[in-house]
Amino acid sequence: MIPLRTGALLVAQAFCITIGLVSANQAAAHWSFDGAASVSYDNNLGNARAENSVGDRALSASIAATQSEYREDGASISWGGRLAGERFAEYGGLDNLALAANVAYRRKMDLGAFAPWWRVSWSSSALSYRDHARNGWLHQAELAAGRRLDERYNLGLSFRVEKRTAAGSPDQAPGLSADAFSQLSKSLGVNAEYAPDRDVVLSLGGELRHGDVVSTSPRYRQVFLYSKAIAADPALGSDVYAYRLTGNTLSVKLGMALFLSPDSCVHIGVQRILTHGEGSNDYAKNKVAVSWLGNF
Amino acid sequence: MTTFICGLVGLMLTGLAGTASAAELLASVRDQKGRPVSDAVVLAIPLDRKAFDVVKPNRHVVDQVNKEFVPYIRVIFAGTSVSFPNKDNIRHHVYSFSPAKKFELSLYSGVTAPPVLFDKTGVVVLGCNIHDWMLGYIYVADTPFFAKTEREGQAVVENLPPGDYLVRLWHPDLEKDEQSTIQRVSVTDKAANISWTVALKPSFRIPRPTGANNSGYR
Repeated sequence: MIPLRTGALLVAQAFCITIGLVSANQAAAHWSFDGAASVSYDNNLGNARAENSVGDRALSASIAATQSEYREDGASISWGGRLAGERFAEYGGLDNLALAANVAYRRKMDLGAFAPWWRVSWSSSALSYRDHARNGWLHQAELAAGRRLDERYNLGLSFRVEKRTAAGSPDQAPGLSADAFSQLSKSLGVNAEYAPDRDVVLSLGGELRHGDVVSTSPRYRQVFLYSKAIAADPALGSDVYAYRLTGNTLSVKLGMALFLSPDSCVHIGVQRILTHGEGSNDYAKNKVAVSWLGNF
Repeated sequence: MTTFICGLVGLMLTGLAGTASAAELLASVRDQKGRPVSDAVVLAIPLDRKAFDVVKPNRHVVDQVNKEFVPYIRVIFAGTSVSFPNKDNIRHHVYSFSPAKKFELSLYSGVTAPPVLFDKTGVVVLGCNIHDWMLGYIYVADTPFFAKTEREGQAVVENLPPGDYLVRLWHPDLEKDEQSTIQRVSVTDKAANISWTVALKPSFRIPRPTGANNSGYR
């Protein structure tokens, strides 16, 4: 288990080292601050089969500080930190805080608004849950590219590798790991934006993910047979277990952003997530979120 | 003595006549739905080219404020220099690909960028390589007599020497070529009026990043 304080110290340390390495030219760097607040609903918190699914709504907020340094050749380096919190209405064990450090290198391939770009980024987050078994680290490495096709259409692709390490629980089954919340996955995503108006941006995104998935349900033979790890999951009930298995996930997300001012917008997102786990352990979930996003 | 007084009076009258001869052209622009059109450029080209002698090009400014070009459209006479002071706390990288003026002011803050001379007539589209949504125009005019319509779709072209003019209109969303807007107007010492009803294409500019994903700069 990694307590938040230790995690925060590690993230802060990494952040300072990153800044020291990349901010050779402080005069050219620029700070920006982002804030977000959202209310969301997930109809299947535990990624369970339909008969065992439980849903809940959550409030979340985040603040982020990013320093960017632009170069004349169209490249930029940015680095920063982010603090996020999430609070659930009924399933309080899932309440969490995340403190992240991130660094990204972005390169625009030519001059102008329609030039293609690519970006490589790294992010590490210390995660602290009320349910301590979920505490741990989330590391993400991403390679993304995109191009604005014209004033209205914008297209982006991304490939992400995600590793999550968790504190884990006492063993539940002899010979089987209890490290149910640690996951490794790879994702390929595409995102398209269309702006019918300068104050409205519609988006459609799809993502294919392969790797570990965690499904929480009462004891169930079919999922047990294909599980790589099992742990009690008191955050979602008194007699339910988190099973880690391998699966493929397809998610589709629809979004709409309405600008309130040049630097803030309300974003409405609807997401459908379908997972096919080994042994036909399949589940589906829907998420909806309404967020306010601001930049200062 | 009488000759001197007559000469003096003559000079004064000439001076008064000179003042009175600078006329105004009141322009009004509406779109196909009858709505006033702002940011339309009204250009009066004198048929007598001597009228050009009265005005010399001077310096103009296009600011960058809150990651936008201000003003959105700047009209200048060919031969004018324009400065691009950056009033934001972030560096901008101003460029144009337009045939009338290709230029690039690489990353800079404050007033460090040198002025740019616009000596060829035409429309110059401005962009920022950091903030893709930033868009501005410089209209490099072939006449020193121009004005830009305000919110109510009206503009006043001032200090026009009397004479005949070809008056035309330009707007970034104009559906037809600006040559199709040409009207001939005779300007005397009184104010002349001119009006247009023009078809505009739907206006569209790149939106700012929403922040919902991390694909763009903010």
